[in-house]
Amino acid sequence: MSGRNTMRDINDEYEWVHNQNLKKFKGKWIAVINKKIICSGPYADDVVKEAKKISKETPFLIKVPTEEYLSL
Amino acid sequence: MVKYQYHLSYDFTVYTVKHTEVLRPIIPVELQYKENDPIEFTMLIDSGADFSLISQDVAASLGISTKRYPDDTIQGVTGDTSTFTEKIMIRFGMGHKYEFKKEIPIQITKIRGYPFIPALGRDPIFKEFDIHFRMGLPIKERKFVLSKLF
Repeated sequence: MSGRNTMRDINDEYEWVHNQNLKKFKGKWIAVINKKIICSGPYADDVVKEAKKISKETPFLIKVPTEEYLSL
Repeated sequence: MVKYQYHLSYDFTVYTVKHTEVLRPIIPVELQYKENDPIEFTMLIDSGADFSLISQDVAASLGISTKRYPDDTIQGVTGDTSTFTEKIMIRFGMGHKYEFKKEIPIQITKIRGYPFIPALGRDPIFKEFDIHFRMGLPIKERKFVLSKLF
């Protein structure tokens, strides 16, 4: 699995993700590679395992928020 | 007058929660544990957290063994949570000389799915950057800025 040479790509990818309709993924992790959502699930480790089966590239994992206020 | 090495400017991630606009300071980062494969995540800049915090499943995705016993307890708004700490390499920025890369201590909960999103706490990030949350400005100028200290 390879990391990116520049962080600019990941910033672009995040902007792309945030402009997608993610309603069906609320509360889940999504794995994104090259501006494509390749898999999703409730837990990050399971999603990474699945992503590694699909691609050798570094996955970008994003937790899609629910419609709740957030306080850690 | 404080001088900075560089500035990293990010748009807030905007959500609508119960018909209210919520602005969250979230940045894309790369995390890597030892020589394991790096994984990219988003992290919430959490000025209320002493240290950074990730869930058990996020730690496992980085190849960290989550079977070890907790060695600490953190107090949050929802109560106490057992944690252990690992040093994890974090990388973020815009590339080249505008990139921050450092091994930082990150607390790991023993709970899958908590915290909801990985949190970037004050230590050491707030020692490395002055962070300005410009939420009150007009929409196009409404950014948060991480200014790297020398």
